[in-house]
Formats: sequence, structure tokens, C-alpha cells
Amino acid sequence: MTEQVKRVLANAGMIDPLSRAQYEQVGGFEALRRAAADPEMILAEISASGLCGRGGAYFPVGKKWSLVRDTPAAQKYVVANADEGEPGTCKDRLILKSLPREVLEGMVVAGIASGASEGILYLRGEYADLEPMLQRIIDEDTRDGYLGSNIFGSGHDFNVRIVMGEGSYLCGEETALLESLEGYRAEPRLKPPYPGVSGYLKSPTVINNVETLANVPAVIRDGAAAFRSCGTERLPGTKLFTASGDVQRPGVYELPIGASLRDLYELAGGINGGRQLKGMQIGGASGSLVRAGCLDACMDPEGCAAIGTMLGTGSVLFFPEGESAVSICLRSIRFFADESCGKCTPCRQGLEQMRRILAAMDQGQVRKQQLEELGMLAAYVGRNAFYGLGQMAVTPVLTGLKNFPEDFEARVRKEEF
Amino acid sequence: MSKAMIALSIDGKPVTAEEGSTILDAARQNGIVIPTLCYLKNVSRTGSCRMCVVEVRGARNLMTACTTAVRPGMEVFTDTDLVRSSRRETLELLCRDHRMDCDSCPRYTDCEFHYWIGQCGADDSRYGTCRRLPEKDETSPAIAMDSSKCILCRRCVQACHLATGLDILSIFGRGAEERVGALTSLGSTGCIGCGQCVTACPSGALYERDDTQKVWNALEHDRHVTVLLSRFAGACIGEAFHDPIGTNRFGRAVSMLRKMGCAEVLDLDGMLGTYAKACAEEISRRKARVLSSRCPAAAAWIRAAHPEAASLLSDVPSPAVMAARMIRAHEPDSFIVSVTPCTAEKMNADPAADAVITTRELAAMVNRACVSRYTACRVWDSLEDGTPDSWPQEAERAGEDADGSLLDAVRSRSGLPADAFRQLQIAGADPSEFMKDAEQPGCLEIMACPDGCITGGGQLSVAGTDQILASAADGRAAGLGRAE
Repeated sequence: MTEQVKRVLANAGMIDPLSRAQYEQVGGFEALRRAAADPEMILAEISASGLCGRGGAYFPVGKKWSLVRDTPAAQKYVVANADEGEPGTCKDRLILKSLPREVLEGMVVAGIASGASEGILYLRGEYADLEPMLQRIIDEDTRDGYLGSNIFGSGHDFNVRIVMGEGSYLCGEETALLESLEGYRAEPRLKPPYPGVSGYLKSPTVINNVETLANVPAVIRDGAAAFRSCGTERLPGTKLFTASGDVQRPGVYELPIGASLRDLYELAGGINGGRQLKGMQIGGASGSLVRAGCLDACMDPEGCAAIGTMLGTGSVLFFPEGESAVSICLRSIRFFADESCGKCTPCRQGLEQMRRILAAMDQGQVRKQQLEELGMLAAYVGRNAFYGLGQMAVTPVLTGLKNFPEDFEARVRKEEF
Repeated sequence: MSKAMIALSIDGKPVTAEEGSTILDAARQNGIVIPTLCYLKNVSRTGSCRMCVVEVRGARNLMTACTTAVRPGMEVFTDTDLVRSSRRETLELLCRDHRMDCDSCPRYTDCEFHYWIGQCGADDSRYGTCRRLPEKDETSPAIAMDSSKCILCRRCVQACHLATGLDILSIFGRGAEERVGALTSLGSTGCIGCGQCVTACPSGALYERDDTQKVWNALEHDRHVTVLLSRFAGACIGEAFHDPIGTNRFGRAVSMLRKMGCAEVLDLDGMLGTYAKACAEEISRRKARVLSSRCPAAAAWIRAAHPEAASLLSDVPSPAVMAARMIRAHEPDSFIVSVTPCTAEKMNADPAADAVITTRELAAMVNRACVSRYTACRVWDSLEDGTPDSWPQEAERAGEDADGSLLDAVRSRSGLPADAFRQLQIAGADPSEFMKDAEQPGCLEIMACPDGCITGGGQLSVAGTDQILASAADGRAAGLGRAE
């Protein structure tokens, strides 16, 4: 039986999230104490650990922080991206709910390392229920010197405030998030400049995912070598995977990076009702559709690339025999057509047209020409969209057509084949 | 200091471009056409429409030429099968939500969107005929909008933001529900009527209130029609009939108006001396700074955005109004038409003229008079340049005794030092400028349109294709200068 390797979630459910004393008992704030005493050590340790962003892009955290540190500016910011909007992903919510101080501690360490004195927790609008608890913790920690001015006598100031997300999927994209923070419509910015150089209010800004920040205290506390003891060489550490779909125990599981899909599948208890697994959608609603035969692939960027997919936020949808790839694609495309910001033509118009075709396919049979149009549109949107949302949104259709062609062909009127 | 030059290749042709310029800049400087819709030089560079996509060797995806900076050794391909099919697809998807009533569209003859559909060989009914009904907002006296023609390029949103800072036009909704428009009906917003959104629009979604029917009626009923033709209109009107930017066609327009049945055509700017004199008298009467009334949009902007400075606004009517009043006094029964580069002139509740039309509307009238643009161009080319009719005796010219600018004409009549006279654009204006030293006699001329009346909101739209090298403002201004 596969076992979880709990690093980030080691104390989840074991301690009272509101109790600072309990958090300190299990090693909490040790990282912050060290960081405050020796700020130079932080970047060295983070870089040596090979910690990479857990939001889906896996960009080295050390590089991101150095960029902000090395960009001269009067004011710098650390933004925790808690706008977890990817369908089928709920790992950040679990961290924030059970171990909120792990994230806040990570933010302060990032602030000390990069020279930022202001932190913003951009909390997904739908997670409003977490806000009172998080605010109470921030207030208490500020009162007692764990946040605020001159933390642990280090001379570093770091204040954190919560900003509620505006309820659009796009707010999770870092530059759209910045637009939203500044009070504008959440639409992605042109890059460069990257947020590390010109981010919130044009100041250098560290933007990290909640899970990334939650990894930071352990790296500083236990050292880079300990962090590297699991995971892969290129991507050390663990990852929170969300298993969803028709499985017996859907939920969040922490596994070393490089664990196989089968490990996650077994932890989730397999498909309900003794049916066979037909395939998986890996990486959220914009993830690839692959067949059950890929179950032994490793969940790291290389392993995912080998089966033509991407790790993304680490969510996996398992679906049984009898489920049509067409309806999974329709679900995904409907979501993205609805969430498209409307800025660029391919995403705004192309996804809507794909939604119409898929809806017709889901209801009954279509002409062969429409099936061809679907594939053509998917390729077009993927190549032409302004940024990732549109480019990635068509992945389920592209991979569905490739890996489950029979599901699509079944929806084409017979006389035309 | 000149910038470093970057060597790259476009479609196999070696070219150089300044460091920091885009693929689009480099292509246009070398005569290579890349279609654009959302891009508008100096106004909009959002990379949103995806018309200007090109292939760059080594790049994972197609790149937008308008936002991608040139790099040394870059190999760009603007005309591959992939690029062409992508552009067609983009246009075809846009057509799906664009109401195609081209024959009765205000942009019938110069629609940028329609132009690219033809050029790129897109099938405008690939996804079926658009079933949208007109969604017209004609509540404003100056600017009208039909959202069913909007292709969501957002040029107007940028133009409004840049020219006025009022952000009257904005984006609402998302995905397929996205709309560009005003929060309420246009007439109940603080829109100052500058019309920069109209000149920015590549389709027929934004246009001015149509006053041409009034003129047609007057002509049909054999009224004595007297036209007050602005020189700025003359400097631009030729562009509607294939003349390059910078061709001054004032005289040609005079002949054309006569041919259409107008009894008299006067040079509107031939009485600016009278206006300058009235301004100079007002300054000496008030013994304080006066904010010039020449630009009605700027005056509206002051009232809306900086009411503290409203008391400084001049009481002298705008030159177009003053001219119309002067003619009215001499010819009480005439039907007076003023043709100006300005949409905001239409906002005037008491314009004195019977119809206030823009350069664009005049061009549309010529096209209809000649049945089609094709015949209009033929007629246009066949006409001799006419001389305008003369002003009544009391009208005073401006310019002979000054450097030619209206502000100079006011100054020379007031006898005040040069530094008491200044010009300001409302875009980016520092409001404290209005009130600072306001007790000093002088005149501050505030303009709404970024380059002044020469690129006024009523002038012809300059499509992306025509602004390859020359700017409309510089080109037309040069043409205006040559005629004088």
C-alpha cells in the first residue's frame, strides 16, 4: 500500500490552527527566528533546496526572490496567491484552513529575503469563510511581534493584509491578480516586465502560491539537504495532489514528486462500484485526457511530458468506463468559455464556438464537418490565445481527440463515415 | 542619442530596426504589411485581437507582431499558411458576432474590419449569419454607438482614456458576454463629445449623430444653402477619395459642395480675426486669465472634471458658432451648414447653424451624391479647385498680423506678452495650471483632441494601414501649411 509523505501537511489536523503555542511546539516559527537572525542564509538555503513554485509553473523560488531582492525599489511586496480556482483543486484551501501560520511564516521569510515589508494574502473570493480566522491570526501575530515592525529584533518589518479575490478564475494568473489588486479588471498583463521587476503598483513583487510558501518554513528549519531527501533531482520535495472523480476517497494527498499516478489512484481507493478505470484528466480542467494505461507514469514534469501532459496544479480526475471524453471536454470548455476574460479573440470567440459544438455532440450526433471544425478550432485557440488560459483551455479537446477518438467518432452521424 | 540598430529578417528579407521597436514597427518601416485591428499607433497596443500574429523561428506559439520586441537574428515570417489561416479564423470568429448590415453602415466606404475580411479572404458567414439586432445608443447629441457592430478591439476604450482621462467607455462582462460601452446611456454620462473613440473605431460601432439628412432635405427643397467649411476639414477630406495624407483639398471640397447644390461656400477660418478680437476684448475686460472657448469638448471637460476653473471659461462663442451668427445676420433665410473636424460642435444646444456636420459626414454625403465611392473618386478627380465665397465686410481675417496660430492672433490684438498665452492638452494636463496665476491677464487654450483639430474626432478615421510611416497629425498639418 502506498503511503503519503507528509511534509507540508505533517501537522494538518494535529494542531489547532488558531493556536500559536501548538504551532510553535511542532517547530513553528523556528525558520522565522533563524531567518531574522541571519537573512543572508535564506536565499542560499532556498536556492540549494531547489524549491520550485507549486502553482503549476515550477519556477525556482530562489531565482524569483533574488530578482526582487536585486531590483532596487523603495517598496517591495510579497503576494501569497490564494486564488485557488482550478476546478478539481483544493490543496491550498486545506493548507490555509489547517496550517495558516505555515503560509504566513513563509511570507515573512520571503519578505526578509527579498527586502519586502508588505505582504498581501490574495484570498479567493469563494474562500470568504476562511477570512475571519486568517484575519484573527494576523491580528494576534502582529500584536505579539510575529508580524509587524522589527520582527524578532531583526530590524525587518512585515505587515500582512488580506485582499479578497474578485471571483474570476483569471485572478489566479499572477499578472491578472496584480491588476485585480490594483482595482482593475482582472486581465493578464503583457510580459515582460515580470512581476519580480514591476509588479504590484509597479514595485518588485514576489508572487508565490500558498503551497510554495507553506514549503518554506521546513526548508529553512531542516535545511536544503533534508528537503532534497525526497522528490526528484530536478524537482525535490513533495507535492499536494488532489484526486477527484468517481473514486472512493477523493481528496488531497501529499506524495513525493515523482510518485506514480497509480500511487495516487490507490490512495484514492480506485473507481467506485468495481468499474474499470477508463482514463484520467491531469492538471485540472485544462489538463490532458490520457488513457488508464498511463497509470504507471511518474508525476513529475518529465514523466508527465512522456505521456503528453503537464503536472500543473497536481489535480487528477479519474473517470470510469462508460464516461465519454466528450462530456469531460464539454465540462472543461464550458468552464473556460465562461471564465475567459474576453480580451483576445481566440479565447473569447473560439472557446464559445467550441462549447457550442461540444454541447451539440453531447446532446446527440453531429456532422463530420463539425468534428473537424472542433479539432481545427482547438489547434487555432491553442496557438493564438493571448496567454495561458486560452492556450491551455483547449488541451482536453486536443488530447481527447488524440487519445479517445472513438468517443468523438461515436457522435458523428454514421452515414457520413 | 540614436538607439542601437538590430538586424533581423522578415520573410527572408534582411532588415534593421531600432532596439526596443516591435516586429510590427520593423515590418511597416520596410513596407511589409501585417494586418492589425486592436493596434492603433500611439493609442492602443494590447495584443488582444491576434490579427498581427506572425511565426518566429524557434517560438513555441505564434507571436503578436505589435507586442513582440525585435531581437538580433530573429527570423520572422508574416505570410505562411499557418499565419494566413490563423488570421482568417480570427476574422471569421469575429464575424460571428458582428452585425453585417454593410450597405447602410456609416463606415460603408472605409471600414477597416471589412477591408481585412476581403484582404485575408475570410468567409464572413463561416459560422452562420450573425442574428444580432441593432443595439443602438443614440442618446448623446454627438456620439452614437451600435454595439452589434462592435468587434471588441478596445481601441475606443484606450482612446477615451488617453484623450480625456474620463474613461467613459469601458469593458463590461467577460467571455462571450463581453461588451464595450458606457455604464449608462451615452447621453447621461459625462462624455465631452471629443469623438476620439469614433476615429479610433475600426468598424461601424461608433459614429457621430447623423445630421446629413437635414442637409439633404434643405438641398431637396431648394433652400439657399450656405456652407461654412473649416480648413481642417479641407486638409483631411481628400483622404476619403484616395488622396494621400497631407493633400489639402479645401478648394476641391468647395467645388464639390457647389456641385451638390450648395449656393455659397465660405472659408470658416476666414473670420477668425473677429473671434480673436472678441477674445482680446474679453481678456482686457476681465483683467484675468481666460480659458479659450475654441474647443467645445475641452470646455465641457473643464465643467465636468474641474468645475473650480469653470468661471475662467470664455463667454465668447466658438468660432463655428460666431461665424454662423454672422452669416445669419446677413442671410436670415439661408440654411447654414458648418463643416468642422469636431464632433463636440454637435453638443452645442444653440449652434446658430441649421446643421453641424463633420468632415466624415461630408465625405459620406459626397459618396452618396455620387452613388458610390468609385464614382465619387472619379468626380472628385475631375473637379477643378474652387475659391470660397467672400465674407461680409465686417468679418476680420486672422493670421496676417501674427504667426498664423489663433492664439497669436489673440495675443497680437491684446498687446500682452507672449508668455501670457499658452496651449494645453487635456490629456495629462495638470489641473493646478488652470488656477495658477489666474489673476494675470492672458489666455489659456485647452484642446481635447491629442493633436488638436487636425486629428479632431470628426476627421476621417486613419486606418492601421495608412499610418505606416507618416502620422496623420503631421501630414495634414503640412498640407494645411502648403495651401496658405
